[in-house]
Amino acid sequence: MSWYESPILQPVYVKAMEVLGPIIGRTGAQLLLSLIESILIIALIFINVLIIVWLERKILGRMMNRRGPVYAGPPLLWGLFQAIADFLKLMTKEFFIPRRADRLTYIIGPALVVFAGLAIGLMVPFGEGFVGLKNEASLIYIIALASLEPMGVMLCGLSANNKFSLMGGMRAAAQMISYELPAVLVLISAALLAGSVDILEIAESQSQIWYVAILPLGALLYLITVLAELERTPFDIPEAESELVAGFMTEYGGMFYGMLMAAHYISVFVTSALFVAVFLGGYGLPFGLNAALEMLPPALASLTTLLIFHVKVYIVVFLLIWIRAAYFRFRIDQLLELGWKRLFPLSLLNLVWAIAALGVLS
Amino acid sequence: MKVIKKLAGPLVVPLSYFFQRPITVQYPDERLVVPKGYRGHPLFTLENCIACRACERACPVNTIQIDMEIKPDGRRIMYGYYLDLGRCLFCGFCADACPTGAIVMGPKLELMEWKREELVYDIRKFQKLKKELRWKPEKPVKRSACAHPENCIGCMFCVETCPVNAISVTTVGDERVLRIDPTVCSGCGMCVKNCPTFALTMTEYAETEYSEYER
Repeated sequence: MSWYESPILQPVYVKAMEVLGPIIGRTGAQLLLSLIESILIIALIFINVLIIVWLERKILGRMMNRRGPVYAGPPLLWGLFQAIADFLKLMTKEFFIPRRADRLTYIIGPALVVFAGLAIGLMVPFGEGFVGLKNEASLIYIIALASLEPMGVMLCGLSANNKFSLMGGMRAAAQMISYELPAVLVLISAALLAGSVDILEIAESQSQIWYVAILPLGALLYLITVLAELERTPFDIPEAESELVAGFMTEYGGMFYGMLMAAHYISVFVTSALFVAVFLGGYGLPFGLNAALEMLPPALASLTTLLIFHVKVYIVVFLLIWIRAAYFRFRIDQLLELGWKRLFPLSLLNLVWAIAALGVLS
Repeated sequence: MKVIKKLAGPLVVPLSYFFQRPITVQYPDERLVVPKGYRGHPLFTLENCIACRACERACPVNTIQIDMEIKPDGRRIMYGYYLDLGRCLFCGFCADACPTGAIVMGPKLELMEWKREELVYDIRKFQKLKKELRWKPEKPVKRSACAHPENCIGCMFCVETCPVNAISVTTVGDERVLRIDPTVCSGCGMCVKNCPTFALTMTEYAETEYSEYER
């Protein structure tokens, strides 16, 4: 509903209400429009997923002196449509459930993972007025949904009746649980500085200085925990190819596999967006430069904030891909040791640091 | 400090690669240049061939087959030259054995065909390939045969094996005279190979004169 507060969509909303109101009633029109809005949000996320998949393959290729995907796509953006081609291929594959698998959980697992990613995306402020759902407790909602994702992964691992899946699922669960705590503590330190658990307010309170400057340790810790929660390279233990075939995805094929891959990239986008919102000032500029944006016409300013946000997100995504190209994989015991013995105390230190900074700033 | 250095180290290499050009070549669209002196497949030309069958004998897998006839007057007439690339090892022995440079190792990389039979190259196919590669065979100026007459025992092996009948022996009284005609000799080296007493050797073509040796 909140996207219609943005200067671009508001006239459309008013016009649509005028036309649809008398026909299906005010509530019906609102429901229809909010449905369209959620489709818009999902479309935005999926376009970004498409670009991130392309960027990942392309940048990873270039970092290994390869080219990455080349043929599918328009000139100058070679290989951009490779993800669409892969998606279509996965769509047309056979719908297949292993005989000994638990049918219900086998189907629910991927759906839950995708749902968790998309539902977090609903709360992320993409630009001025481009917030799917405004809520005073949106950070808590995001933390809750982020811990829903390991549930889906675990269901995938348990239901497939395959030892690799099971081990992958259990590893994912162990990893996500042990990294949930530092991540939440770091997010709470940022919320403490902003004096709110509303992600929008946290983003807007950074109009003078970004929290990455006040909480550098926190930003670093959050980046590490993000890598662990996304199961990306230094911590890609749940799907360690050389040990566990494909981890919890071993028994999945066709569109289920596509959903799990899409969920992974949705999570990459959404958590990068969260990192931007919490530590890099959301869709705004630092040092009070947002005042310059207000001189633009409102529709253009809104689009500019959308652009700024995406530029920041892609910088974080580039960082994630760079780390994937550079680093090795941790062993499961090293990972848990790092999580509990290093990151957890450091995140507590970061919390103390945030309280001290709050005292100095106020 | 040490930890930071250790962690940042792996990040540098991929970033430096990121700003370099990729080293992969998009094969069907762009191709690597074949280096000079590349030894690929055998490439045959009729221009220099003297039908000595040295390549046929040298081939370890018998992939070369030459249809030819020796006329009573010593002329060698070739009817067909067949080389099955499906059996070829690309060892290059034929090119080494060829005295006139009529067969060399070519630079073409794509030799696939739809059928096995199409891999058998005959003279016409070799001519097409030669035109395609713009290959100009060198004139054979390198080698010719001459003799150490003190070793010769007059066994007549060289006379019998010479493919171009350049060697002849005449009996003058008690002595036998060996004659090698350099205008006829193509320098295939068959006589040198067959001589049991090492009476014959190879020299530069330019140095040889009409030679006559007495025994």
